[in-house]
Amino acid sequence: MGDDILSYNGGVALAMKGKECIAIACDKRYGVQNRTIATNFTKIFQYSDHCFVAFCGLATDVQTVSERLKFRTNLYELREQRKLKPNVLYNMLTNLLYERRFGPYFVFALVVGLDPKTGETFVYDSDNIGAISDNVNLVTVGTASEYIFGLGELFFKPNMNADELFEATSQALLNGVDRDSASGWGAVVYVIEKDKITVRELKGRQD
Amino acid sequence: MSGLAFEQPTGGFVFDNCRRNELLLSNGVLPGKIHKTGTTIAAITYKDGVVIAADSRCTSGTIIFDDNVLKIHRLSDNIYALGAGTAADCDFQTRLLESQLELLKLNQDRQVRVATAVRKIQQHLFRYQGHLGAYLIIVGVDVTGSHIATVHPHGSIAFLPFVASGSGGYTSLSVIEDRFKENMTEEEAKQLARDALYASTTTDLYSGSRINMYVLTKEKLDKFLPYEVVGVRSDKQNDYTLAKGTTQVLSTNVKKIEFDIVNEKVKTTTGTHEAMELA
Repeated sequence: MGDDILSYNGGVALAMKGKECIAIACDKRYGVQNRTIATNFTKIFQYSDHCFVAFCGLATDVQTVSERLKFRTNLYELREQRKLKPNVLYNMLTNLLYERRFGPYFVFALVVGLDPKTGETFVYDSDNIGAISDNVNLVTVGTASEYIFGLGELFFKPNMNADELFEATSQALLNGVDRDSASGWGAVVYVIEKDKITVRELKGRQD
Repeated sequence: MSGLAFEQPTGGFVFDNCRRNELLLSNGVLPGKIHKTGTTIAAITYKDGVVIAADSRCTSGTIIFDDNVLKIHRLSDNIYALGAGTAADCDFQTRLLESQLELLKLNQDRQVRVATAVRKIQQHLFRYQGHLGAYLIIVGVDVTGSHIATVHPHGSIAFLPFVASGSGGYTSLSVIEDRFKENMTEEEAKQLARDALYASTTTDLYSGSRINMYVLTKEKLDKFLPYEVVGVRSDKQNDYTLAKGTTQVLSTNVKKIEFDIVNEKVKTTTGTHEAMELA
């Protein structure tokens, strides 16, 4: 089937910024074109107390890139004897992706982080060859990203607290994936605040 | 790379996915959409220096991925680059060039010249035969004066008094061609750059949002981020705040993050110690 490589496995992720908190969410479907194989494939990975990355695209590359990045961040923490900051993680990821500029990994990435001392929030996105973005308010990647962009723009407002942020992120994700056959089958939302991370599994359409 | 667990990044490009990707593409699979900065970038020389302007839209296909991208990259204190084409290539190639120029500046103990930056990037891009999609405008002021050069992915360059590039480049260029004159004042140059960018942000669908502008002379660098917001968003008519509890949750797991108090400072409010009035 001459289909887009990035929609071969399906999946979607979304990140939104709030006031001293960030939300990152993803669906749980793992499929091969039209067949759903598993419904527990989350695409969010933690790299530090407050730093998370979500990868969407070809599932094998999601796993490979997340593990390769973990390797590099582990070495960083061992050498530097300190935890990663979000912008460092972002730079590492974009370097990893750009190294393979001419034989790229087929993943789009979202990097989110929070500085616990200042409460400053970071949300970055990257295409599959590591194009650098600025610190943005809202970003989504994956097969349903076009639908979620619209919903995200509607529900987002600046300086939301953790509860409002959770609701906005969840509704944008759930309603977006309901219109996309290649994503869905449940969702997970991480709300990251200075002192805690709340992980919630959402009830969504199981199709 | 086969089977090696210890992958020490040595810098430069890695080609280990190429064979796999070739196979995928030959099976009729389409490659994904990478971020391009379909864009408008323009630079104009005037009496004392240069004015550079860029829009701020980044698109992936027709979806606007980022509405506020800075397409002006610093190469050196006196040299800046504007990038159009593939976003990742513009970002990384200018970063690479910036590091090389910094080392060169430290080595030769002199301010770097625009011609040097242009020659270096041109030779680098030529080696990759156009596969690095970086359409750059290199702009700067050095001891020999102010210069603008346009660099194409295959390595061709041109030094010009004014230039505009990107998908909206032709639109901007027609505005500049109409009104450009030698030795303009700063205000005239800024107005011309603004008008040129305005024309393309409103007509080219891959350019839009804001006009960012820098004014670079021997003495100063003025940054206008943004100079003008062309794509003004109207306010939302309704409040779409969702009430707590809108979303049905299957399970919640709260992980507390351990905080280590590194140091503690107690600050007393010291006022002037006035003796108590005992009346």
